Amino acid sequence: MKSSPASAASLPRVRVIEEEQFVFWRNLWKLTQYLIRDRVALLGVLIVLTVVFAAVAAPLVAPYDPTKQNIAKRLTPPAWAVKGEAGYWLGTDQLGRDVLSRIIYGGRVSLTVGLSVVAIAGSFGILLGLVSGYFGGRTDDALMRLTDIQTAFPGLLLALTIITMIGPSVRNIIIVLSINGWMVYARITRGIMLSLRETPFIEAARAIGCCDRRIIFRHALPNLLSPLLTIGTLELARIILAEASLSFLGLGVQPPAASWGLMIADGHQYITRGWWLVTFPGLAIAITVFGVNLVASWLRTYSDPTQRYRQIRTVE
Amino acid sequence: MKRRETDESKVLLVTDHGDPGFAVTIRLWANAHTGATHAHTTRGHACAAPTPKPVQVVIAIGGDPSTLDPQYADDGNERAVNDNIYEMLLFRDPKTMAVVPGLAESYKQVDATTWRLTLRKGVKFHNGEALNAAAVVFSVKRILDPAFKSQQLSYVEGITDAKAVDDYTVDIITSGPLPILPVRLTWLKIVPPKYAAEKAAEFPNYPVGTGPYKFVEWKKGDHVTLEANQAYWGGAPKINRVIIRPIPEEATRLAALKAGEVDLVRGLIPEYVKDVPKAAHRPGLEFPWIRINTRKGKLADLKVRQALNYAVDKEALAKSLYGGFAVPADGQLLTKGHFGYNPEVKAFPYDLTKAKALLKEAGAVGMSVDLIGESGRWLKDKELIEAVAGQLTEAGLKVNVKIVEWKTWLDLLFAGAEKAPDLQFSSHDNELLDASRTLSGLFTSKGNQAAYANPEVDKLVETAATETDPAKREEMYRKAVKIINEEAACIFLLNLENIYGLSKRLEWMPRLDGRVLVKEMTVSQ
Amino acid sequence: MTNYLIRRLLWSVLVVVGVSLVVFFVTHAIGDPVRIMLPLEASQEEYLTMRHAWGFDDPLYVQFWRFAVKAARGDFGDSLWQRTPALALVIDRLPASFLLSFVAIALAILSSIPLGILASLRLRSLLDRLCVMGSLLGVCIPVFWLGIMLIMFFAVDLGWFYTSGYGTWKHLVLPAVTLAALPMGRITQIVRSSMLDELHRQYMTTARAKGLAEGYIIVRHALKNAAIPIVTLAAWELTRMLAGYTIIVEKVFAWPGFGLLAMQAIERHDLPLIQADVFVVALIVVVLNIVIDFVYAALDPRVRFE
Repeated sequence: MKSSPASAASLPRVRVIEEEQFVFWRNLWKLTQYLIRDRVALLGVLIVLTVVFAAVAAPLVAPYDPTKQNIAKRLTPPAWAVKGEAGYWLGTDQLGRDVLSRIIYGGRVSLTVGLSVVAIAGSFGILLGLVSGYFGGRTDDALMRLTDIQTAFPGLLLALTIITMIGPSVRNIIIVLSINGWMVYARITRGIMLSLRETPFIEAARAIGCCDRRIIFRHALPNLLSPLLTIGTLELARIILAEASLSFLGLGVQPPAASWGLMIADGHQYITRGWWLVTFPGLAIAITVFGVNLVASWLRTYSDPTQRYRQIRTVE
Repeated sequence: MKRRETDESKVLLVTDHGDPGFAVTIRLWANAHTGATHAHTTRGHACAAPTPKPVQVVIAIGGDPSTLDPQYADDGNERAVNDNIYEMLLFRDPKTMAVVPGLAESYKQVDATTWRLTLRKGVKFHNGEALNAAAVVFSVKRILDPAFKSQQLSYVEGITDAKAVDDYTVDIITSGPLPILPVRLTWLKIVPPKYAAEKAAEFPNYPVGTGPYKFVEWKKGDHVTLEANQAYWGGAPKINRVIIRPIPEEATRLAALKAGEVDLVRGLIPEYVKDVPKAAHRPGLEFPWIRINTRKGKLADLKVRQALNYAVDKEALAKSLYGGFAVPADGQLLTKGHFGYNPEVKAFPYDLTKAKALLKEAGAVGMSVDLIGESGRWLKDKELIEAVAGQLTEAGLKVNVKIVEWKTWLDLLFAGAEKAPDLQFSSHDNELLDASRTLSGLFTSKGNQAAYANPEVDKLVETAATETDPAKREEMYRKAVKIINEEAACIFLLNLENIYGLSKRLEWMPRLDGRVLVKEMTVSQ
Repeated sequence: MTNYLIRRLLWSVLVVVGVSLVVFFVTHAIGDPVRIMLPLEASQEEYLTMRHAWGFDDPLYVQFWRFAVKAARGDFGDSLWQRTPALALVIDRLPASFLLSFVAIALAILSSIPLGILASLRLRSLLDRLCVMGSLLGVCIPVFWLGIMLIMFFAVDLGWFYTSGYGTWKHLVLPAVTLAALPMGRITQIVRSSMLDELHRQYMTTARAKGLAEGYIIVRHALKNAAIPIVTLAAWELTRMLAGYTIIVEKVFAWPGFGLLAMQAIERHDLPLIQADVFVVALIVVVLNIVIDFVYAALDPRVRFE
């Protein structure tokens, strides 16, 4: 079964901490080494870094002011396409703004919202799922029925209520999407935990007197990493798109600011006339998610000792 | 995303601007006010064709009707269906938009608050009930009953009661002199009293009217089927079967038309016109406009308000954003077809230098203003808001655009003049074709949407509402329109056209009032 | 087990009641829907009259009592906007929603499980890469874009299916495929990653050493052990669909489903209809989750409910 270091618990406490610090730096070094050797993972990291860099350094990278309109030039196709115009590499939008510049700036909102929501909703949902699955019984009943209530509660109504009360902003979008987004993590975590808590190694840890917290976080959680990383990546894509539907209703990002999702929502009427309006922000989302997925799948492999062993062999 | 369920119901002008038809409208109207009765306009006398092949037409609208009770909802999708099933006492001529006889053959004003109508004889509801004075009285009382909670009350405002004189004569009672009563009667649909009262629970789902089409079935969210009423008093319609389908997505409506699944599409966007087999477009009654809070800070200064108007390049917006399917509004929120339109008032020309100079004079350069808007309610609303904001920024203002959710937008619109935001985007369409609706609601101190007040305008609009001499009444409205324009009481933007997509085989001329009447359509084949 | 089931059902009642209460107070916190119902030109008096006629000017506890007494009898009242009993409106939409959702989830599951397994078996092969890319694309693709592209190609250009509407299988194919794309991508990803976890476990080697057939080992051991996250995610996707998140597909294909109705109810603040919507969704969620827990127990003997 899983090779979690149950033996570590029997070591004197001080030594464990020292070893942990040491292990951390050694692992980081190793991680970098593996990364350089694994070309696919490297590609993933490069994609993510590029996207993040572009968003952070948007004013330096973007060729135009993303809010500068020119209605006479609205819906100009990309420079390299038929009837395209030089300078507008990805064409112009319904108000004649440069699509490329808007994508670069839009990444700020989309990445902020996407990553924050995944982090917040993920942490909360996982915590709830772990507790629910580990303790079972009435705890499980109560927490999972709470999850049911949240699942049955319409997301749009939640958004309307919260935004009516505290006003539209990027921060509030993050709050709304987090409240409406933790249930899937909770359900997945709890499902696996229900099965995991009966496995010999958890029972062994309990038998030698580990406290619940330690069992949950040190022993059980690492076994959940793989599905959770997958869900996290998938949710990132969903959240980036979900932000759009809220912004479109006036609940989120305000013009002239852009986000990838909002660009898609605003451009959707022109799907037959200006394919670039939807396609490029869509590609931006796809490429980002792809990069994150590569990194996540590599992290997953790296974190699983049995798989890492295989990988080291194949790389070396 | 929010459907524009109301905008698709909005009204169109059949004639181009400057068509002499409007002159006719106004003249006939004048007759109405002096109490003259109208001659019955000839209606397609059904020549008995030798066993015509059954013809079916499919119409795509923007959303499912909320109900098929013709007196309850304020909903364009409901109207699209019920306009073919139910009828009003008075109609509007499809070409001239003049008020013409409908279920009533004639009408005259008896005294200041009473109008007498003579009903057409021999008309029957689809279930066999007779159309008589009792039916009219029932219909009027029904819509006015507060317990019925009709959302259409503002369309019949001023009507207080109805009384049967004899079987085919009805008196309509108004609260005061109500010159626009005939207009209101082109709105009010007549329902069968026995059925509507006894089967109240079924009535909203199984409509029964006097119109050219009979209800067959309603699969909610998918389609409504209608069938020709062979016993129709105006002659059986040529198209035997009508299927009305809600298709909420514009691109899908276009696809359905291209694939030959539907014959008529409402609410086509300008970019799609080149893709459809046949398009019909007519100037409409939709006026996007921006309300200015004329009491707030520098916006109280006429120069600033003028600058706002000069700064917006309406021609460019109409040409680019709406692909030419819009024109700059004539410095008023009325078309030539409205009673009270002032032909002397013109749009503010686009003049950026002048706008900048005016702002400088007023000391308002760099002033920060909030522009409140909504999204997805009217054609290209959000884009228009963003584009106008861009142009105002160019003139030297700092514009904070805030797109808010519909309920919030409504709350701000009706917040009253003190709490009104600096600028608020809205869209106005006056379906009654009479300036009173526009002026009293938007530009008088009592108007619920107004953020502008001027005692002179108040007085003009108030006196006009009860003025029985149409010429005097029209003069007052024109005067008010002129003042509002000179005062730059709002930012006048555009007048939008409405665009329909048609299949090759369908022949139809869209109407000014936006009604989709299948009896006016023909199918060539 | 019977005891457990009874306990779950009791909890379920609590969920349905709980969510109804939350919805009641939340919708009232936003304000009354009268302005949304009336045309913009309606006067202030008309607004006040209407507000009174609907009883929105009553104190909240009066409105709540009125609602609670009726709701306890299963009557949510008439939809403000459609003037028809709200629950009947919702139930009327369920067949179309169920049909679309179940066909889509079946498509998604039937395609993603084999794909995910194959990808995990041929780790880093071309097939694996294609599966990963394809499933990520399915996750990122804007649903309305996919829908409209499918309509343009298969309905307009080829004429194989109808662009929109409801009735025959020719109406069903395109919306079902569009709706299936996203869950298919998501489930493929989780199948692949869960299978990868299992394939290198010791018991696999043991099983192989015993000389069991590879296919048998993969399905009977690996897939079964990897099943919990897969079942959870697939059920989650189905729950979301049935809870009305099919709205974009419904809109694009003019499908008379439940999602569009629910959204309009929320936009119009049509309280009786929202309540009926939420009641039905809560029932669906609760029942599905009871079923899922029993599926867990059936798949994995370690999962026990007492």
